[in-house]
Amino acid sequence: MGHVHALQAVSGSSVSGEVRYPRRFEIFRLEALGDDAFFTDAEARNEYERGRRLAVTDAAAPPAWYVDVLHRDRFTVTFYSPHKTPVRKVEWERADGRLFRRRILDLFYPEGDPKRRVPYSHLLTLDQHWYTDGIAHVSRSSPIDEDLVVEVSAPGELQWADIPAFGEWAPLIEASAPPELGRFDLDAIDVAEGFARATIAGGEPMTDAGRWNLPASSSTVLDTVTSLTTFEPAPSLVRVIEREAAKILPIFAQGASPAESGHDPREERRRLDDLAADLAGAFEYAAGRPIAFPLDQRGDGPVAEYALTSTGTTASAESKPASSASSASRSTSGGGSTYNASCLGCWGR
Amino acid sequence: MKMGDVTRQVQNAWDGMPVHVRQLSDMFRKHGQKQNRNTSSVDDLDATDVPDALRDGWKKDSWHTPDRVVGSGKPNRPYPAEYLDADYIQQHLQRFEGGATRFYRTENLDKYGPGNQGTTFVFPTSEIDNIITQADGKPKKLGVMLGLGENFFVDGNDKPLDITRADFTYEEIINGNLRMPRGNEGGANEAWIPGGYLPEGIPEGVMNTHPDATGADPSVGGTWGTYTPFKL
Repeated sequence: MGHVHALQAVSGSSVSGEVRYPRRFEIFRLEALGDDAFFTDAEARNEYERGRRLAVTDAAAPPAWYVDVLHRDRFTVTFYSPHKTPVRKVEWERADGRLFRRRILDLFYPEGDPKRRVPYSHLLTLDQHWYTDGIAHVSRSSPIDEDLVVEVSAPGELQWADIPAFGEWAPLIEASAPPELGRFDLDAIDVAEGFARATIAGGEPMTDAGRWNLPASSSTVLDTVTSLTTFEPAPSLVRVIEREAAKILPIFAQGASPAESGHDPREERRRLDDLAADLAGAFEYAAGRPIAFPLDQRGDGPVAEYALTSTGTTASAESKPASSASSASRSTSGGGSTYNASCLGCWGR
Repeated sequence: MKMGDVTRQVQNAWDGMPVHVRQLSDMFRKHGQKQNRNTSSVDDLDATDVPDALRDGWKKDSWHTPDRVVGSGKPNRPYPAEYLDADYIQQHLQRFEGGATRFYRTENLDKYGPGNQGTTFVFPTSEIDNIITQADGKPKKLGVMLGLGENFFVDGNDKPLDITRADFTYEEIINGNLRMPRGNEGGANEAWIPGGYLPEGIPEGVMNTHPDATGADPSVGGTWGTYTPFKL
């Protein structure tokens, strides 16, 4: 029941009471480093007001929460179990002079509290990305099950906060605090599923008939590419277009321009950026190289080039059997019949 | 200068150059994106791209050439000891006596952990610190100097990204079996060059990461690195 302890710490005196400002904060061991490990309040205030990166924690050891202040533009609040295990991370980002709750990541540990941080890709997670035009991208990812990925419209659920004055951390911490959920036993599987469903039910399904988005996480895309290159069954969530010898994974298609759809073009772009960054991270992990995702291009581009040079490996946005690398190259560069991955992030068709 | 003069200078520069230096030079230029040099720099063709130590570190009697090593592909690339002098390897690894460092996008570190298929590429801490000083607080410049690209530390709108710096003590890198990269590692990409350097000329090594990285259990080799939010 580590989450309960975490909540007690959050709702107790640590928010409004004593906090600490580590000069260097070790984010895995949750320790302040060095002999003179903490800024004084005056020093920390100076760092904050100069827009320097600043760590803020409660005074417990280990801390129950940690705020990473990045240039006063982004405030990331992470909560931990008493054993230093992360349970929730909430990102607030400056928008229109206030802080917008951009992302909430909840972590679940069906095998019990590991008492340390483990890679989140090994866990059950519920990841909510929020956009100021009221759209939320909700994904429940699991290392043993297919993902649940849904976009909903929920403008009433958007959360804003004031940019805190130095020392006034309590409102942000409290607005970020994790709900009381069982995260550390087998029941966590059902809890995560229920939490995901409830979150999705808080919004309205996207009804734009021309809109299509990838109903899978980046790891599932990667699994799909791996499956295709090894001629194994691919996860069902990812659509695969077969065009002659090529197998193509559409990443993001837009039926209409933002002007037609009514969505905020900046946020529409942000959605693509988020997806692109997520995919780049997954492919970098798999192949040692991120993908430049040229969102404004059509035709051959770095993604298509990457797909071709990666043919025969486990990472490719456009997958080809290893034995036909050269024909893949001809197919793509020949034009006409190809539909490379880089153009799938563009507006319109 | 006419194009013919340039070609002649290139030809002259290639002549007499050992094949391994020629091939390495080509790799450094290609992956370091220096191929668009102007004509005045052609004279430097055989001198600038390949670090001096590496020019002299290739075994004279090895049948491996840089092209062959790279062309072998994963997971078939040979052990560096097959084509690099033992003294060269030893001196290269001694550059890490002050510790090793690498940078992560925090998002990727959170999601995938500090290693890639059990290994991670690292750079000598002292040289990273020098580069940070030279970058003079400019994140794009630092990204380029480290070979990470100008948008590693900031996004397309020049907003700072969340970056974590990992530092490994000498004891930790010894526990992690610091070694010359072989090119078969999970993090080795198509820009990998044999000999222990990034295309930008920064020395690199590779070490094992324990799946319980940063755990404090001495039986697995002590703490595995110190991870702190990076401030430029």
